[in-house]
Amino acid sequence: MNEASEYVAPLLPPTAAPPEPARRIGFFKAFLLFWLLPKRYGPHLAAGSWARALAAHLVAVSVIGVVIVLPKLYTAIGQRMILPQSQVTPVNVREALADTILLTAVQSSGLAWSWLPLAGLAGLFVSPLLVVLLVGTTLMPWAAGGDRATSVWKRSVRNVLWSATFSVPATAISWILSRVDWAKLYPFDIALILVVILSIALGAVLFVRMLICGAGRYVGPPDGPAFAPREPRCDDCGYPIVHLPLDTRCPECGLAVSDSLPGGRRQPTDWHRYELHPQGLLALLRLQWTVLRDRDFFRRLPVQSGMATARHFWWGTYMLMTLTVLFLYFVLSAVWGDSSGHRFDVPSFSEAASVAAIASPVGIFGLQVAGMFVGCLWSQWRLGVRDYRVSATACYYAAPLLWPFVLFGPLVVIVVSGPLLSVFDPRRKFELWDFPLTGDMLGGIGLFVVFLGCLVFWRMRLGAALRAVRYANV
Amino acid sequence: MSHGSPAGAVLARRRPRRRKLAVWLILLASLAIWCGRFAYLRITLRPTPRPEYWEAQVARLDPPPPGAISPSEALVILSNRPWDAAIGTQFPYSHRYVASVLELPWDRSREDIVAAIARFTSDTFESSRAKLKEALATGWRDTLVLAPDPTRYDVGPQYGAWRLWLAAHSRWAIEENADYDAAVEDWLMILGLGRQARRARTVFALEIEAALTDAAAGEMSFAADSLGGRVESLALAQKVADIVGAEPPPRELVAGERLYWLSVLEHIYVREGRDWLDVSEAAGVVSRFTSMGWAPPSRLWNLTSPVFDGISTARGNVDEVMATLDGAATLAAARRLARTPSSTGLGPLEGTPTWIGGPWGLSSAADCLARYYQARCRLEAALTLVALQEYRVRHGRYPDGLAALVPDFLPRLPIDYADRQPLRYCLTDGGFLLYSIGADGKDDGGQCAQPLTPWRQGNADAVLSNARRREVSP
Repeated sequence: MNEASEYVAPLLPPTAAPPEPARRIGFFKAFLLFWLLPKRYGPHLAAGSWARALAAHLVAVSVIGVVIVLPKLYTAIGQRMILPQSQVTPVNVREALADTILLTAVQSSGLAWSWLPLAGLAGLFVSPLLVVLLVGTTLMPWAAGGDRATSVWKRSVRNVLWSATFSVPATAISWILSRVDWAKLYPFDIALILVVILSIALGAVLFVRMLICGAGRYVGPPDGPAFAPREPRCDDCGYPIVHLPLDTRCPECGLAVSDSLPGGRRQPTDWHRYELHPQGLLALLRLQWTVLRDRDFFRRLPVQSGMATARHFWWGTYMLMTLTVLFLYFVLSAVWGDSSGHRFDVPSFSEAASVAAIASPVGIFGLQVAGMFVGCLWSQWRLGVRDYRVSATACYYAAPLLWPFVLFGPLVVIVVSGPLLSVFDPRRKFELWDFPLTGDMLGGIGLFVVFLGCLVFWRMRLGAALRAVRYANV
Repeated sequence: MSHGSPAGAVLARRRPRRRKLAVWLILLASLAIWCGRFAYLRITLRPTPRPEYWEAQVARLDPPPPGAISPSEALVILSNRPWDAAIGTQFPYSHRYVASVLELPWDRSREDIVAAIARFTSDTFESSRAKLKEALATGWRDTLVLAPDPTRYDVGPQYGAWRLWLAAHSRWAIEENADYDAAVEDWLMILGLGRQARRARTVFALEIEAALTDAAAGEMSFAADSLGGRVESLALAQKVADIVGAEPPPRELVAGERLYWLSVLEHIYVREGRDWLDVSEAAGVVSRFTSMGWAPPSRLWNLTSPVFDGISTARGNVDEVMATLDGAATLAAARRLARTPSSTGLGPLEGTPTWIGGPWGLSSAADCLARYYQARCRLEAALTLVALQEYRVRHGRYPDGLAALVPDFLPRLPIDYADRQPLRYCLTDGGFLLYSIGADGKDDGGQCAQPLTPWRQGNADAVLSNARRREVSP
């Protein structure tokens, strides 16, 4: 090692390669094909203009409106329609709308707050845009591409606007399915039901893919924290370590300078190495446990690169959580099945478990997305992390911290309809320090305490994880 | 500062951005001002109706003869109901009892007939009847308040009550005293009341006239057998013609209704700034029409006014309905029109405008016209029956055709309002058949399954020669 390399360089190289220049994709081409090629077209569409994104959204919503909502509206108010349903003209639509408005106004005239239904009516027009903004903001971690947070937000929202073009294939498939004469195909109805279910599942997968892959890559000018050289800082305290000798320690916190630099303490995990190997599953399971147990894990995690790997870990964790919960419900139902058979006012355990099992894939997904969003927001606003990729990578790896919440679901089912039901019976009376309690109150308080414990655990560990990566150079 | 310097370059970059921002701000401010002004006008401006003008227009349609009593005097006379006090104390439901007097054979042991006789032999009844007769000789025009609510015609119930009592009185006069002149006087008074009601020229007034005419014609038909020779049929027909007067075309029969709706439109349209609908007021009016009686909803509802048509379209719709009613010159045509609500654009609330382009209650207007034609047809038949009985007394047999009655017994041939041709007549074994071809407009040779209710839907033709009272109390 020569003399120059024994000191910390004044600038570290950019952590991302220069982005691909943005290109303009034809509107109709994008409108018709985005759902098939979200990774290819999405980044360019998300980096495009607001006007095109809004136009695409409005056209797509109009398609839904014309093909699906309008006939429903006509059927719903068929009694009051002025002309037969077949005559769908702008005048008739306006008249139907006016009719609905007047009728709502008449019905609301008996209310104390008669403006409230009007606000609801207005909300019908505003709410789609509010939903777009909400979804776009929530999906920001999936749009992190090394650019600034505002740019990430804009790309994410524009991607959601473009994602509404999914209405075109969805409407076409719905129309085809509605044309099928199911009665004629009677002996094969099970197969056809499967076709319908698979179509819906495939549609859901394609739509989610558009939402989370569309803006996953940044294209455009290299404007963002990942595309410029950075000043090296101490990994623990953020002290600028420029020109410090490599074999010294940080003057602020005493961390070895070499630990803060590439090749230092942040090394790829087993998951980085084996994610696509047969032992990847083992690495996934081990890493779950490591994240939950090891408080220093995020001090050793490289966060300036490997976001795709982190995303795969997030998805793997999701699958693991979902399968575990389903398995739990299955086993518990087999054991306790009809455990609340003597009570007619509550569902049996197997009934409650079935409902919870159906809801859990969506519930866990929502929980993880919400966790990602809150974590990234916190990291950006409170900890001052400029690169959204760093926040996102840390939050992806922090997904196992939600395990307590995930296991909280089956616990709720056990309490409300399981073998412990007799303990939490509202007719049972307790006294706790002279305070009268009933069984259901006890159950509620117990669940609340457990939920609070899960929340505190998640909040503290996530906070520690994000603080551990805020100055990461690697 | 020169653009060559870095600061100059920054300024040069910022200028167009600022200009663009300024343009956007100006546009947004203009939009905000326009929206604010729109909202302010819609919330503060109110309709400026001219009820006096429209009431004067209605008064000109069918003015009473010179020397007529005032509407308030007429109302006092009509409201002076001598039967209320006595019957109300002895029997619980005065109207029910007097209505039952018109049913079943005359039996002095019946409680209702005892009560009715007590009333009819009292001086108070006779004096009230005399006052009414005197008022009818001069005529009047009812007070018509053109307020946009359904209680605009408050004398309606008085007509209904007098109709029953005068009809009962005519029966009493024949059954107890064989006083046919008094009975005829009662019938003419009932018809006179109908004539006064018609002056309003509204659908409701026409309905009242139809009910009055039907009552008088019914009693006349029931008594026709015994009238033969005692009452001169030609004189009776001429008196009836004098009272009922010439029959105007359908549109003119309900011309007051048109004026009423035009005045209602002025109650709900604001004329400042392109005649827009006051949605709040309109909802209040509809609420009153549907008997909910709620106060108008918040004026914020007026912000939806651009969805609705202007007053000129609404006026056009009213005129369109009036023009359509001209086609209902016969009973068959009126029934056809009443049965086709959807194609003629009936609004969501029966009998009220839809305010958005659909004509108002064409169905109910046509239905009312049909009932009016039925009543007139029954009156024609009643006069014919009286004439036929007189003919039989004089010639010992019934005539071969109705033409034999003209001009000695009837001034003209009786009209079948189903097709405006003469009523159908033929001789049978020991009697005759007099019938109308009914609402279907087809001559079925006098087939009538339910002769007591000739206009019932199941009857092919309406046989009017078998008039008799109900044998069983309804």
